[in-house]
Amino acid sequence: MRTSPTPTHPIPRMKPRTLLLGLTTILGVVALLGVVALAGCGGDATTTTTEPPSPTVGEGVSITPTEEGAVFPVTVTDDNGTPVEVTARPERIVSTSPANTEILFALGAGDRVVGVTSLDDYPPEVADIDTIGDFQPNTEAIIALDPNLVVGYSGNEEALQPLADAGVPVLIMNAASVDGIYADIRTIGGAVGTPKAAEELIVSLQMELEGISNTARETGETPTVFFALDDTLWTVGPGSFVDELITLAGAAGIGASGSSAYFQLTPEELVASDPDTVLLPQTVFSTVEAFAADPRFAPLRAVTEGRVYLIDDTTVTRPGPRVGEGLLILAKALHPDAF
Amino acid sequence: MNPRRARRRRYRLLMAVLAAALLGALLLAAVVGAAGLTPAQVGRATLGLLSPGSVDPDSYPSWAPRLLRDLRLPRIVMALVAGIALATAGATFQGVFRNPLAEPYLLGVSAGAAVGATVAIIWRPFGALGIFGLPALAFLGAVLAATLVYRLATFAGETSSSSLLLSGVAVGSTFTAVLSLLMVATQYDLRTVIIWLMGGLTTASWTKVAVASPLVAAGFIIMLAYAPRLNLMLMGESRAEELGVDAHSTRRTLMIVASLTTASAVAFTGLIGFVGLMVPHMVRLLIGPDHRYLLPASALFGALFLLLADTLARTILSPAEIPVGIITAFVGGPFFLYLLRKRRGV
Repeated sequence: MRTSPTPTHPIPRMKPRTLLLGLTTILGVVALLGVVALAGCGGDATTTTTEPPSPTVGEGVSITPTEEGAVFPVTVTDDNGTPVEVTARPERIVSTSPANTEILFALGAGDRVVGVTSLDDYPPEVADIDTIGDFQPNTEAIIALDPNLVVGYSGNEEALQPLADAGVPVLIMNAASVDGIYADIRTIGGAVGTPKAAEELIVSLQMELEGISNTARETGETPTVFFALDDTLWTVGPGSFVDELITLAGAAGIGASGSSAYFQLTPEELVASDPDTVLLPQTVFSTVEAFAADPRFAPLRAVTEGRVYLIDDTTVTRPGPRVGEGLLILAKALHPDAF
Repeated sequence: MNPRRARRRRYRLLMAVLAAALLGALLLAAVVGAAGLTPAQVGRATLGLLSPGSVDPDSYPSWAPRLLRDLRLPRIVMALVAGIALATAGATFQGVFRNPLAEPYLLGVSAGAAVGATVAIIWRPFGALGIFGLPALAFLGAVLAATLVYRLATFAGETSSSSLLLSGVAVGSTFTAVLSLLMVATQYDLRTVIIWLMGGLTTASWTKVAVASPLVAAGFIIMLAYAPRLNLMLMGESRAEELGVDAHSTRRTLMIVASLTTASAVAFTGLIGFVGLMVPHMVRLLIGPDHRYLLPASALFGALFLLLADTLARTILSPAEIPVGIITAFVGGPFFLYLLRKRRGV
């Protein structure tokens, strides 16, 4: 049995190996960007200027957008399968979901975002942008911003219809998987005129995810995990984005055999499956004791052996360009010795 | 002065006051909103819409006319139509049941409509019917609930109003349970269902107005036509029968019509409670129980009340919106308690 941090540690401390992995990933991405940039210079005769990519070392890698390959008018297909024509480079963009806002910023279109939801919290710049409602967008507020592109979310269709009727391109983007994130980055990149930045972002994310996933798998261990969505035993099941991340992090979610993507476990099921690790959302729980002190869950191995952790669930559950960060959070909690 | 003439004068006065208040509320509702237009801009944009070229198009944002025409105006009209529907249906139900607590919400009719609408939302094949799917199923649910209530309350050809109300509550609870079961059994579009249940006029459109208003207008005309018979029935059914009113068929017709009127509003606005309860009561307190006057005054009052409630709903937390059902219940709940206490003769 491995030794483990005490349950009071919200996130296991960063181990030397984590640092090494982080550096390797960053170096890999930098090298790759160089290759991409060179290939771009050689292959595309019409391109005269190529801004060199300037990666910054930190949480991840930020990519300087180059607007090579931008074509307008362009027709993209959104996640509802609707073909949407964008006639000119959108200068005023409204986003109605935090994940889509993050994609826009990661693609370097952040300075063109003029409206976000009140739930948006990343990057910090969103605090200065006008809000257009919460998970229900306010149609009037959006029209008042006079946008020329609206990146909406599933469920917003009816509220955004008046804009589509008025000829404003409206994309419904709601990734529910890692591949879905890549596809959304590509679609949004096409619509805002940063197709090259999109491809670069996708490649860097693929490498980041692969690096973390490989390290996790090399441990040879596949711990079982209960990922709590709230304090009433709702968890993630097969086909959900978080379950996919758990698998990539070299673990097995106990909800994976469930009936739907999101469902409620009974306390008995949880006790019977006795997972190695329990992950609690920090937006709901303030301490792990709130869970560990519950007499129903006291006999769980994760509780007695101290593997109940609070995690940054906002980052983990948001299908956006910080998916690598989310995966790393899971991997650290699930394989504390390897990261 | 004889009391009848006094009542008629009070009726005319009430209608005049309501009409003036409604005009004020319409102006208010047109100028406030999340887009932050000034009243002057709204005025100029409206003039620009009515006669292009009469005002300088640069004196208001280019999107303003479209926002007024496609968002605010249909929403205002939908609030008026739904207010009329709920208030007149409430007045009719209260007359038919001879019970001041009767209203679509309490009688299970709204719950029936809610079950129908929920099926329409979560049962995908139904989506093929487009925007008519939801009202069609909501209407089916409402009529099913009303029919069940009526059948359950009829023993040996006799239908007492207290057993009608009791079976209404029972049928309503059963439909609410079915609704909860549907919501637990499916996670698909759960949020859409919940938002619909809380009631709101956010997604009002001219198409919805065009579907709902003829149904509500037809319902209102039939209710008005039955008003004299309903007045006689207030004296007791056997008395009404003596005077040549077919009490059974009158009651059945009015229940169906009031259910249809309720459903055609509720289908597009979700559950908005208490309008049907409190509006007719306030009007009755002011001008008495004669349905020939009660119905038109309730229609006007209902339209005014729901328009004000919705204007509040979309402005106090702007750009977020509060479901209008919360506001009507906030006003309606205390009023309901007041009625209960008053009836006990306190």
